[in-house]
Amino acid sequence: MGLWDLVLQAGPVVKLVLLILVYFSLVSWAIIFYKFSVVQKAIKESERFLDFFWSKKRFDTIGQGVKDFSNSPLATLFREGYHELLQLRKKSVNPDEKSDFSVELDPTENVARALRRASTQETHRLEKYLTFLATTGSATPFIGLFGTVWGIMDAFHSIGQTGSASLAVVAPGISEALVATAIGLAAAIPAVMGYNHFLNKVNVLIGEMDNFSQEFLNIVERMERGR
Amino acid sequence: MESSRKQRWRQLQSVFEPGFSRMLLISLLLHILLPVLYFTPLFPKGEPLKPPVYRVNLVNKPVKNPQAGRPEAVATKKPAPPKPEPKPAPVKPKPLPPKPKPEPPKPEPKPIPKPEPPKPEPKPEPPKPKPAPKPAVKPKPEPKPSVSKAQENALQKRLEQLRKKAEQKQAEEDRKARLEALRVAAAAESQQIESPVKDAPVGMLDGKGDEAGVAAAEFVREYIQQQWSLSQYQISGSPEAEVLLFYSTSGALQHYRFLEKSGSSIFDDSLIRAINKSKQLNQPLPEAMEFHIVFNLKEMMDRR
Repeated sequence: MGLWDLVLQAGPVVKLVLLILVYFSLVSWAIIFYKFSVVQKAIKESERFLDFFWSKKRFDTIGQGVKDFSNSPLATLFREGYHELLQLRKKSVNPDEKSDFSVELDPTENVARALRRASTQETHRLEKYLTFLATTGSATPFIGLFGTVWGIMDAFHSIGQTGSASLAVVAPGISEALVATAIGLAAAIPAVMGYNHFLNKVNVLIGEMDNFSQEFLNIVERMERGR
Repeated sequence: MESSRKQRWRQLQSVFEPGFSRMLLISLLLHILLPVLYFTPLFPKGEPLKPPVYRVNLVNKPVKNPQAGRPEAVATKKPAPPKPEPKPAPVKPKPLPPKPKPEPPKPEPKPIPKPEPPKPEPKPEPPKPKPAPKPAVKPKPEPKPSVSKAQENALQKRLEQLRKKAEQKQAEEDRKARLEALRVAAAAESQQIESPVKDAPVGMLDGKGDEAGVAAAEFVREYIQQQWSLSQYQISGSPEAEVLLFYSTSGALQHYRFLEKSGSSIFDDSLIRAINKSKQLNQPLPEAMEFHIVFNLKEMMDRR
């Protein structure tokens, strides 16, 4: 009896459980592919951006070239921080210009807030969908187990009705029921592996963002003191 | 800048990010492809395993018609000879005629011995011209004429009695033999009727004959199988090859040819090697025989 026969011969509840598991597997694999692409791009472009950042001495030059690093969270941080800095400069040059927002003129504080906000936003972007992987990894074995328990209940019920308890009667029902656990595990294992892998990569990127924020603030502070 | 922020916010809030639907499609294709691949030969499905068949050659003598392990198989051939025997059963009266027979023989033997003694009587006369050699013979005919007629009659009677006894004994033995044959026939018949397992498999391969032993074809196949060796990692599946083998009475391979090759040169070569090693069987065959054997890789792997 093949795997396909086992699925076809399963009861309606087990079939429903199998459908749910297939949905989880489908989406989690899509997330794995998507996250792989996003994280790889983020890491590569961040490395390139850091090289570009340290090779240039002027913020305006960097600001013009930052458009080439759209997938790098560090580039986003720089863009946000630089934008905030420009806003402050404009304010200090034209103090009469009306603004709805803060009029505080401590540039370091303002830039730090802007960087923190951008960092949070980037972290959310990088961590998006990872919760689904975590849910798949932890829930699908239980969903599969539920299908198995239900299938075994059904199998034993029908065995009780036939009155025969030979291995030939008991084994097919249990085998059908166990398919649900097997598919639950098949969905959970890649999801857990993917979740751990991407979480590690995202944590590395968060660390890089923190470091870059500190470096950026230091530069801003040095610039302000030098003025 | 404001638009860029808004775009990023929208992106965070959206269920499907721009590249995500493409990945979802890839994942869907993968999930469809996996079952499709499962049914292709790339993923060999576990064929239902044949339960192993164990053959035990208790009598390792190759015979033409091996006897089965059930009495029916023996009885199938035996009923034929005993049946004609029961027919003589009505011939039972035969023992009766022997009774009258002894009567007529009485006169018969009498005339026979009678002329005999007279013959020796004239014989003593001719010996006269040959005196030298006959003296030894002379005493013989002399005593005969000296035997009285009463003694002669007594001897004749005794001879008759002995003859009668011998005939009676013979008749008795015949009767016993017929009875025994009838008994065997009846036993075989009763076994045929009462056997609860009419269609049960017989004890030996091809077991339907009347000789105790193993089928010669099976013996040869087993012998070749013992000489055969092939690693399971070299070949898979279950290719089959049909081979025609000619063996002489002494068990020597005369020649062989492939009726159908398996299509796998590795398997065919392994068979040729095994056949070449089986050029001389360790037992003679009942007669020069031709064997048509189908070698199946899977069966051969299971057997060893």
